[in-house]
Amino acid sequence: MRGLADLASPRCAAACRCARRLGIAGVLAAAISGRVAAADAPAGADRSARLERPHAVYLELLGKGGLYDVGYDRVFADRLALGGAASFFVIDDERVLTLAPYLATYPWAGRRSAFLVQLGAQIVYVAIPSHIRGFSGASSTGLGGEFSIGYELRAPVLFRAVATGVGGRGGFRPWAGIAMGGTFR
Amino acid sequence: MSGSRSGASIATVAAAAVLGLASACARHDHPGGDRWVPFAEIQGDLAPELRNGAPPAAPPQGTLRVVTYNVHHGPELPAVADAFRSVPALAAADVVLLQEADAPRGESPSLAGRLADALGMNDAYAPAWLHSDGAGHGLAVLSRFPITSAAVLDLPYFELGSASERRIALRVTLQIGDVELAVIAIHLDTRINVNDRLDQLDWAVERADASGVLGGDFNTLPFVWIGRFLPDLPQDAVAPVDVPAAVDEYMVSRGFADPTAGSGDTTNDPVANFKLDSIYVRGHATGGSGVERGVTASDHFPVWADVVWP
Repeated sequence: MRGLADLASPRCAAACRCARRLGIAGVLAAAISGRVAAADAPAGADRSARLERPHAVYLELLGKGGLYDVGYDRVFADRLALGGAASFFVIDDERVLTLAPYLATYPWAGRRSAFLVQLGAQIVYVAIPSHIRGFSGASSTGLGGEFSIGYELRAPVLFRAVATGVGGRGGFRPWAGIAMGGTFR
Repeated sequence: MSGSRSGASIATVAAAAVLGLASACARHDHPGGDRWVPFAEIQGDLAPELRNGAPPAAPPQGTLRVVTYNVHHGPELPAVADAFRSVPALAAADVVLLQEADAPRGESPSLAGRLADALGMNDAYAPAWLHSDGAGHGLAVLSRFPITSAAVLDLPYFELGSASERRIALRVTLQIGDVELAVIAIHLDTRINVNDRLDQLDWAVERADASGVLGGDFNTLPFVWIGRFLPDLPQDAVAPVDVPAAVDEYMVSRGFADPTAGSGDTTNDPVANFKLDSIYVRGHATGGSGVERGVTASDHFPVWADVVWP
């Protein structure tokens, strides 16, 4: 049997590499977002689209739900939002349910576009019924953490593109998502 | 209003895409062959190779050691041969099951045959398909004992969208003293989910002998595969599926012992590792088992298990 350190080190190394990549992506996104913010925040613009239309509903491809998710979030202050996403799908009879509450912040933001950071939890339940004699089926449940960075445009259609890292008892895995939806008052 | 209409359209398109992905994952696209096809009946580019040039070894005293090893096309053949000579657990091997064993076009014997020659063993090699350069890619069994029969079974075929492969099982009969032993080498598809994986395995198990050894690379990755293409990585991070346990449960229900059940990861990857390789035994008691993680000639490690003999 391998030692814990042997098992953990490749995953830690992968996590570090991925965190570095996420960091680089974050810096790039921040730079782009800063330029956008400067461009679309004319003098006198006093309320951001986030405050004007604080509610958002969206459909995200890939993202927190793996394949897809639907989500809702609400901006409470110009730079802070609280939300959640959920998904359920069946592939080859395997049922995957995901619930993902999160806190979002906008460290660099213009009137309509912003650099987005999300931190949240993921609760995942997988159920595999059996169609094979000799296999009784299987299930797996877990609680993990999720960190996303990306770009948001709220005009008033919502568009988000994020790079995500998800960690749990299975290790750390990179992911990505593209969300589109609507915003309202 | 226009915003909400466009949002609804996007949702409709996305939902259709999701349903399309889900419906694409039907059961296997073609059933496998319904019988073991003897080597003599297989001709042409996929003609197998059976070589019994090694002098028969004496029956093992106490245990028969079986090794399974995915050699990842076999470019590190000298290192593999060296490992089988120098690593004590592998040097004691009586039977070796190889996956991803290649045979360069126009060269005979295959890489598996050359390894068998280097180790003083007999070998049976069966290509499942050909690379674009005509090189064969398949399974092999190496044995210290005479191979008295060899046959191939087509496993159920799954269309994976890209890199779909014909999958086979290779069955040989070994003459060990006065006793015959059936040995099956197998390599299952990569990007299929649990029930499909067991379906593919079941095809061989249903046609296996009442007693014998079945081992190989079961590709028991812990993912839910989206559209047989994309692993659901968030799910894997948070709630990984114990696919090796599912295969173990199935095999035990079919009367097999699972001596390698607690072996831990069997792959050799710098980023993430998994338990993909196993050995199962039916009709014989089993002894110890292990994974040789010091042997780094492939992206898998050799896995071994002992069968109590006779």
